[in-house]
Amino acid sequence: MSWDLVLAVVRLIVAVLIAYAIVFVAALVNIVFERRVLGFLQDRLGPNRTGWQGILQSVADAFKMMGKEDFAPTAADKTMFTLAPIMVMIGAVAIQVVIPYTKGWTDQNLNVGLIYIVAITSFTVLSILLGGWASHNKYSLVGALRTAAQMVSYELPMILALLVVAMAAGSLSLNAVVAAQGSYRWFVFTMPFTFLLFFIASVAELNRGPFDLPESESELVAGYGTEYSGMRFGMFFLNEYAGMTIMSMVTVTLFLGGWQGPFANALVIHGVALVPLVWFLVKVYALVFVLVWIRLSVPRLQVDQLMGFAWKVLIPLGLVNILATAAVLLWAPHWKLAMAVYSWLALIAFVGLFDTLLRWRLKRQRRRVAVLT
Amino acid sequence: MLGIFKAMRVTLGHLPRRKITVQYPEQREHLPERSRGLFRVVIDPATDDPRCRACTLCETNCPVQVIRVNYESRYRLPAVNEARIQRVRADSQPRPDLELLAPVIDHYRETAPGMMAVLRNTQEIYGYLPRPALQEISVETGVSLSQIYGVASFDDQFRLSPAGRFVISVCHGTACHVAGAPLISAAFADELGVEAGQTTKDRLFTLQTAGCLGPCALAPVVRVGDDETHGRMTPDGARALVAELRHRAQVDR
Repeated sequence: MSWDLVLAVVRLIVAVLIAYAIVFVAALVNIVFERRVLGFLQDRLGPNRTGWQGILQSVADAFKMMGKEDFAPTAADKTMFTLAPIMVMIGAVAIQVVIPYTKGWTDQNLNVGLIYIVAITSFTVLSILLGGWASHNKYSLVGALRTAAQMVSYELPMILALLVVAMAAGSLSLNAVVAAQGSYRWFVFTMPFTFLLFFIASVAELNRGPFDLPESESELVAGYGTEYSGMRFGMFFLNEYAGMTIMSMVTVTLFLGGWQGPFANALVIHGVALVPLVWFLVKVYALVFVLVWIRLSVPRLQVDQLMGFAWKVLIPLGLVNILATAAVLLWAPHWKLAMAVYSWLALIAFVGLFDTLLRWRLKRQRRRVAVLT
Repeated sequence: MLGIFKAMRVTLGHLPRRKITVQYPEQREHLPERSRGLFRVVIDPATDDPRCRACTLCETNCPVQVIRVNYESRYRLPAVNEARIQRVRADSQPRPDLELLAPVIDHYRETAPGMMAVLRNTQEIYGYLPRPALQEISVETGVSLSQIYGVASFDDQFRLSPAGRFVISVCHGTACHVAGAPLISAAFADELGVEAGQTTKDRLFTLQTAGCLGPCALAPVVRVGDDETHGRMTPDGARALVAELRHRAQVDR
């Protein structure tokens, strides 16, 4: 047995531990962050008693949750019921394998990073379905199916946006994507329309903001999590909040130039640059703030509007966007400039025409007369 | 889409605003001069006794009824209160035999007559409407006691206290009134020492006024009980009638 193998195993274990630690810490931080930000945006203070300015609030909540009874319904499929909350973390943990946190710190520089991300995020849908099915409760099952329908629908526009990024970067590796956005040519500046499509789809993937139908607190019991309580519920909850950070990491890597920023080489230890890590975290938490902000500001969609928005608006627009970008890449002489012009125009058209078209469509819908048979 | 941006601008505008949360134990709102936020029993420093006299005025006047005065009297005064009066009153009435009420209830269950009929049947049994019987009716029929009381107190034919042995009804119909019924009533009241509607202390006479009794040709008319009618009554005749009835009662005993 060679030392390389032992080192590889140790490295594997350490990487997984770090990934899990990041997920848990991110979730706990996000819960406090969201509650404080929501509080401030609503002219309140939010929780500020536990620890300095309330930073230990979610730690206390987590301990409370762990102290609860580990309860499973009699009719539930015990194995699956236990497996689902464990599995739900896989997506959030495994994505971190390919994310470049900073210069010189990527766990695995996969050359199929984008495809890997798409494949791994589907695990969340699977475990949510599993949880709803194993609860042996029709409400849980219906809730899980609703969630699955939503997440599968919004995966498509997300993938379509990712394809555009891959085309522009010329590679599926995330490090290459970051490198392609060098010297402040971030993709959010050069293709804002794609960014908007991706961002909307990712909010829906996270079951947040205006798309939080799967467990809209003010309307449903809890969707797929109806039968879950204690730490099992906590795992779903943590995953959801960790998902904010993880999805923001992906978004930052793909569109906001990843770890890039000024003074990138100021502090380098063993090949790992520390200043870019700060830029990365700042960008990630700016995005998390935007997620919280949107959640507070935008009212929830109806379920038919939700599905209609994915299938009738986002997916056709994503397809058109791919075709247009491909055409620009293929034929335009200065393709970067041409793509920026095209994308900004598309963004302005989309944002400007959206309300008018929607109003026109609603008016036409109301004019329809029911046909009696 | 533009509406969403507008909403987001509004919410972001609230971020730098002053927060309205008051961190209670550390910060306190400045209360107005006459605020009485916290009720406390003030202890007299001189005697170590509470200044509260347990008058329960605050309890009865509290608009939201959050005050409860729990107290124990230090002086065992004969407390004149409503409950005690009611208890004494209930004790003074003969305790009715509720078994007798069973046919009335059965009748109610079978034919469901009105409350009037039930009360009339009850009064036929006891001679008046005893409170325990009304409570029993309320329990059995599901009609609230206050509604039963409303019916019983509205109608003149119902009595809530035991009647005397002789019920003297003085007719106050139009004919009798013209023929001098008020004078007859006054004579009875003077002789018996009670007002109309009351019973003498020895439970012998109940004096009451009635509407028209019917035999206007005999006005003024006085009826004793249900089947003894005296026509063309005079105040002297009334005194004589009372004397005769007293005599009859003595003979019976």
